[in-house]
Amino acid sequence: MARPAENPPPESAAQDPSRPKRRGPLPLGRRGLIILGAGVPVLALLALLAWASFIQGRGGSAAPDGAAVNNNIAEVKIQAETAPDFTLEMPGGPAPYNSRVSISDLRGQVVMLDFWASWCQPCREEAPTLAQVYREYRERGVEFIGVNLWDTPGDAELFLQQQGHEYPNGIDAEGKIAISYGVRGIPEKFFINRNGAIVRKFTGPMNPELLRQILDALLAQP
Amino acid sequence: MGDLGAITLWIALALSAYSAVASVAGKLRGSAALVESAQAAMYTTVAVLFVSTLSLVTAFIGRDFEIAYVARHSELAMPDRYTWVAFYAGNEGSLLYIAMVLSAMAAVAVWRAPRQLAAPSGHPASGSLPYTTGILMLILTFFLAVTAVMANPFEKLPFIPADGEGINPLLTHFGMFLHPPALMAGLVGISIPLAFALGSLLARPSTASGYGDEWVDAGRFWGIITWALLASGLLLGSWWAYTILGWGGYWFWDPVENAAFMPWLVLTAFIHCIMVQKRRGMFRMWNIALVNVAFGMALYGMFMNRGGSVPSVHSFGASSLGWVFLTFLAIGVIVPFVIFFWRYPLLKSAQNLDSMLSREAAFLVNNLLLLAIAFVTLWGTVYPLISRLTSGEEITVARPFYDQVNGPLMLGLVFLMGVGPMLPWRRANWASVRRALTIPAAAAAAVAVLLLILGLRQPYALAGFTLAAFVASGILMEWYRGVRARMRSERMGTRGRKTTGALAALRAPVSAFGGLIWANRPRYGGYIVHLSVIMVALGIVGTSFFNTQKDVVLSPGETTAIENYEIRYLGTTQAIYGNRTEFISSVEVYRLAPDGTKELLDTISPNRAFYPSFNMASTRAAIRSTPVEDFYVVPSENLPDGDAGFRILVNPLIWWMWVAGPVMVLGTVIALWPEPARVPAPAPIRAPTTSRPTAA
Repeated sequence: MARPAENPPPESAAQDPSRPKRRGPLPLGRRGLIILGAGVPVLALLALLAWASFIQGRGGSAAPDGAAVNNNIAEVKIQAETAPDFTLEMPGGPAPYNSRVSISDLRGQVVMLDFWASWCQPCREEAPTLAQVYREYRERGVEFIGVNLWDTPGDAELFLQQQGHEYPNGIDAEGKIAISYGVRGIPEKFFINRNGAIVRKFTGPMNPELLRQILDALLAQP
Repeated sequence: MGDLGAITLWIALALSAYSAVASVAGKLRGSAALVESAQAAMYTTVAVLFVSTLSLVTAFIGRDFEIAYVARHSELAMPDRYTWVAFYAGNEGSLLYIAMVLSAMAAVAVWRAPRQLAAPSGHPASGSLPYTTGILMLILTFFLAVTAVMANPFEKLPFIPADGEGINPLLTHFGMFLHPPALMAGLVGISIPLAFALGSLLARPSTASGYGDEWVDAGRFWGIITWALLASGLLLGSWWAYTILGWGGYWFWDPVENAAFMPWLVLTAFIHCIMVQKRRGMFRMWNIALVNVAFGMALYGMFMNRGGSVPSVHSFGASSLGWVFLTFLAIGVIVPFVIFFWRYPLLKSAQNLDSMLSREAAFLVNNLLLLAIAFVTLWGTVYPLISRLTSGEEITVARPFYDQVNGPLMLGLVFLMGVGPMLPWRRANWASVRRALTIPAAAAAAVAVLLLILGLRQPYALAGFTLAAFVASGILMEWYRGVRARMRSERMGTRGRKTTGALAALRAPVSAFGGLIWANRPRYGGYIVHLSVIMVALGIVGTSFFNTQKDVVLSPGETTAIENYEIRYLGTTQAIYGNRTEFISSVEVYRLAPDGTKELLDTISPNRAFYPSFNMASTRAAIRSTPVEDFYVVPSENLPDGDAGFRILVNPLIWWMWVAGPVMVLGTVIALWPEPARVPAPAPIRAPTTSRPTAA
């Protein structure tokens, strides 16, 4: 309130010259410390951003507005319908497909279709599960297809190398497959039975027990 | 029209560049003529930019598809009202919008600047305002240069397309009319407190009141304005996400949301701490550091929006602008800090902290908590880059990280909101603190016990509700005491006049309440804002811990129950428009009573539209909103046989969050309403005491 009274100039010019002398090297030292403490992290952050901008120059597609990362496993009830056909380009893909796979070629097999991205944490969490279960079931008439979405090609390739995925994986660069399957987030999985119909849909990271159970049930069907 | 727009854009660029140079040169050479001509150039820039803005609007209204920007963001079928949204739907237009807003705010700020900044000795070059003008015009010059050279909204196509590409369907929502403009204005508006702070540092005034306090009033005013703009923008964005994105949530911890949230946090710290400087001459360095950090974070947000290197759902798309904004960010962070450290020895506090039990100390703790939240959020935002650098993999930080780390910090802040305003300046004694906090603590304890009896066991939720009761009851108690004291004094003032009747009995407390708020607007406006924060907290706690969600596929006629609701899906009608196919579902909502009977509450129509040209589906949730809970239905898919998938949510207390917005704005307006010049003379005779419960 009473500003003049509360706000005297106690350290006015009369006192100021004595300050640096009395404190010796302290003011400079303290200032230097603050400069270091604030400056180093700030510069590091700027350098990090510059480096990332440089790396990112190669492009890649970002996730669209409203895309979600599904952190928890959940089943989405769906009406069985024929799986929309698509052809996935996958340069250097595994035999017997080599560079492309069409979903319609896989009739007679149980197919798990998985949409993922390398930056998505739950996708990373479930990757070992998918690799493991695939090894168990690949000889029994089961195929996995991975569709990479909203990602940078380099990151996606690195991810596949690290996880050692042996099943076909390709990039849905324009998001067309995702649109035809109504994908809203990642990871999202569709299970397609031997007749080529989508029968179950799951969002979120898969656990091995549930995955085996689903595949066994689908294999038991004619 | 396009040519006019382009020409005026270049003129504005020239004017603002001139103004920046002339203003600083005028100050250095002590030339009144230069300083005044710089100001005139700044005012002219506003008018010129307004013409440029208007010509882009006209091009949109006339669907002038020769202009690439108009062709990309509108179409013939677009209703005219969406011109407002289309204007800033892309990089180019939004940059023009930012330049327009910055120039207007800067002009008002300079025009209304207090005398101790503008001309303390009567000479226009004697104050710090020329530096402030120079800094603002430098920032404006940057935006105008980028707009004119790299992202010109008036760029023409070599041919005239028959129709435009149309507006992004997600933007055709009421929230979009206000959310992006408020956020962009808030982010760029931080330039103004920054320019006042740096201007006064550069001018090194040596008035009798000590160094560095002259900018405080202007800094506080514009700090609060930008704070309110950011807060409204954030709330509106959440509301938009809640009603249109169709995942039932409202906050994503998306990097760009975070980028607007962080400067808001730092500004919150600033608008509290600046009061300490205003009243006590303390925290001078700290306040300038806070403004610098807030500005840096705002620049970081803009960088992120313009092709930043962090994965986000908001970006305008990768572009070479990213580098330009990164450079701007680097300059905008480094230069203010260099000035700050250069002038560091000038910024001594007028006094020391008297006691840790004082309002100053409470503000200091509040600052530390706010900054902690801001840095946790910043860490989460850049973590993908750090992980990429260290392990070669880019990993985004998910929601649990933010919730777990920021949740407790936010609870601590709410607690301080209850304690801080009760503490007097300088030094409190325990007895008075106990007296002030007894009633709020009792109310909080009562709420906690009641909730425990009702079976609430979730510790965070319990803490949240208890602290909300603590803060709200404290504020209400202050109001009650103030009203009572005022009524007593008013009765004394009007003794002898007869008042009868029920209406008169009611009029007295109402007029006393109004008078109370009016007598100390910063304080009571602040209380109203605090109440709005408590309302937001209720919404966050309610939805974080008590919401239920169910995903179902229903055939027409089928029902499903969730909590004590049941819905019956009646069917879906399809409507085909020029740019979209809409699926409008009809859903009856019933309330299930415990005895098994059910009552029809409403028939609601969630809808989902597919836009072939965007390959994009947009949903509009049907929400039945009450203060207790929202019943929320959003269609997820429409199957060919008429079945439809729905996500159904019951979100308790979220209503409070959306109502908080207008309350917050009201509180801000009251807090900022200009005070009449205070004359330290005896108070008017009619109201002899401006009674205040505690020292304000």
